[in-house]
Amino acid sequence: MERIDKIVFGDNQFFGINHRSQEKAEEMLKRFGNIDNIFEVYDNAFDCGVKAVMLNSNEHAVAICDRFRANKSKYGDLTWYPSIPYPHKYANMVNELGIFPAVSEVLFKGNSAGGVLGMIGKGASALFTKDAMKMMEMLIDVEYKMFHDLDVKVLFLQNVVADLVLGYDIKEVFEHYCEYVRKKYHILPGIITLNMPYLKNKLEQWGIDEVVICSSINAAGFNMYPSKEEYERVIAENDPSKYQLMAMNVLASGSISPEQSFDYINKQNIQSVVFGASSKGHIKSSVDMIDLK
Amino acid sequence: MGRMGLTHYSIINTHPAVEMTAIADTSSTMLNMIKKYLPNVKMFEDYKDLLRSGLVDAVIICTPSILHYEACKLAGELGISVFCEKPFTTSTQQSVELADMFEQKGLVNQVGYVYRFDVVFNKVKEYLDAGLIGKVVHVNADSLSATVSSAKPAKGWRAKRENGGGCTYEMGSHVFDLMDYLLGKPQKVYGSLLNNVYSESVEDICSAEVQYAGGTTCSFHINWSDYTYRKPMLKLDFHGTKGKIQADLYGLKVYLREANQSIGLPEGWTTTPMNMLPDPAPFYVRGTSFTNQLYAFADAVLEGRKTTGCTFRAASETQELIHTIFSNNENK
Repeated sequence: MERIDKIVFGDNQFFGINHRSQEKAEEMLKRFGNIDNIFEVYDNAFDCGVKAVMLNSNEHAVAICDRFRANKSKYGDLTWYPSIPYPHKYANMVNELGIFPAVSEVLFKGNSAGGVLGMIGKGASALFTKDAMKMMEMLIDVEYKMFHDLDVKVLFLQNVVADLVLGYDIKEVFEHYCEYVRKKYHILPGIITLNMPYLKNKLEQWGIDEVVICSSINAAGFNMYPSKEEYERVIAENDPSKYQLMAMNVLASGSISPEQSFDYINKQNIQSVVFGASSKGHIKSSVDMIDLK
Repeated sequence: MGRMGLTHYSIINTHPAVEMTAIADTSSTMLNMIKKYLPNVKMFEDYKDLLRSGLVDAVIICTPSILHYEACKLAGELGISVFCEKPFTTSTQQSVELADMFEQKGLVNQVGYVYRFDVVFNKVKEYLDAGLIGKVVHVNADSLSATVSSAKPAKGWRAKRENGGGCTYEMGSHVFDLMDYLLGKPQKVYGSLLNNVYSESVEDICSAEVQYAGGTTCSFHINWSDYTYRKPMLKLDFHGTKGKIQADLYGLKVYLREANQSIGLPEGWTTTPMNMLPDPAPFYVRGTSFTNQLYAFADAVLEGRKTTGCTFRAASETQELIHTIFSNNENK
């Protein structure tokens, strides 16, 4: 399996995601409502040596990707780690329309791409029944479209969706996702989860490997289910040629010091860290402190 | 199955001692998906057939609220333990009848008032029970969201109050139950107001003044048309004789007039963000509290004891409060 970047720059800070304070989150949302402010942070990160970016396929990501593409000479050597889907988009639609109509809306509205057009007449519901896997492929294509012509290495399935599906214990969904991403896009399949030991155990049972798993890994045990101890056991035993592990939430939303956080991370048998920060000072000190084995 | 059922299935299916044997749903698409991808699970178009199938010891009911009563009743008659989604029923009398029935039969009964499993509010309970802020004189309880933030007419069962629609049922029931958990059964409703912002047939804002045991009063403010909230927010402020507690989904702040040695909190303000509180769960889908409430139900059934979650009896107290608030407003 191709090695992933050791340091990946995340996007939570741009989209008002803060596990600690809603006020702080709203302040960030306001600041980064202006895309120039987002790119100022990106430029700072690249100055500090960051060469890889994780970005969720939310409504702001389209404009961000466009700007990266439009400035290829400046940003051409970046490696991309997108995550799909943007779960809130679906949650709102499901609330208003119901599950299956919401999916049809996403697939058929404003998407005249090959394959999709021919299926409109048949109705989403019938398709679901007949070939749910085909529907999943179409949803992946719709979400992935915004990342076209960027140098993508891993496509992650976002944790809200991945963990929901994981509970169902259906091998085909994960198997098909991984296969499709490999064959159609020639990139590595990735899964974000808050249940890493459970997911990895299932993937092994199902015989699915060469997957990148991104999960919260931090000294505080924050967002690590069922327990920090279980994570440490699974991480220590992991074979990185089968599963590359990426740590997120390494600062545990500020509940431990950066020194403590990175000291812990550097001792773990993991392959990559995704982190986000909005000031150049914080970005630089984080990059300097990351020293994976 | 419903929307909540999708989450509940994912969670409970990870419990090592629970076997999922049957699902009922009216959607043929859903049923066909189940048939194809969950071949070991028997499916039913009618929940009554599922309950009568002999395949289940316990059931999770996530139908529209208007159907909760008859579904719970049939399950009880058949000796099946029930986890029922909130709001519990659409009348006080129905909820009391179900509480009586399940208690008499010794069946595990629980309602999905999930904040009883929230890490922050459990810390609040610990502090209140220990008398940290002295006598609680007054509480402000706010529940705010942007659920209905445009004049688009609501569809489905949520558009009618008699079916369990409106902000009082949808959001108020959660905060009423949380107060029931923290302070016990409400004693009296002094006044209530229901107001509309966008909805035609249900209320968008509910405010109520309620009294609890020992004379503690609480001002509830529920608003599901507050477009400034990107995520739903629940805030409780407790004013006590020895201090204050301010709690929301992100954490809590405590003010003490004098330091408390036994709990180990200093004089003045102490802030504890949610991520500083240990919040374990065996599996995470939508939040630890969703997992922990369902595991509490399953464990109670497996171990043959009462649940640690919201019982039908407690939920009937919230039901009574909801209807008192409605009638108080109507009788003005």
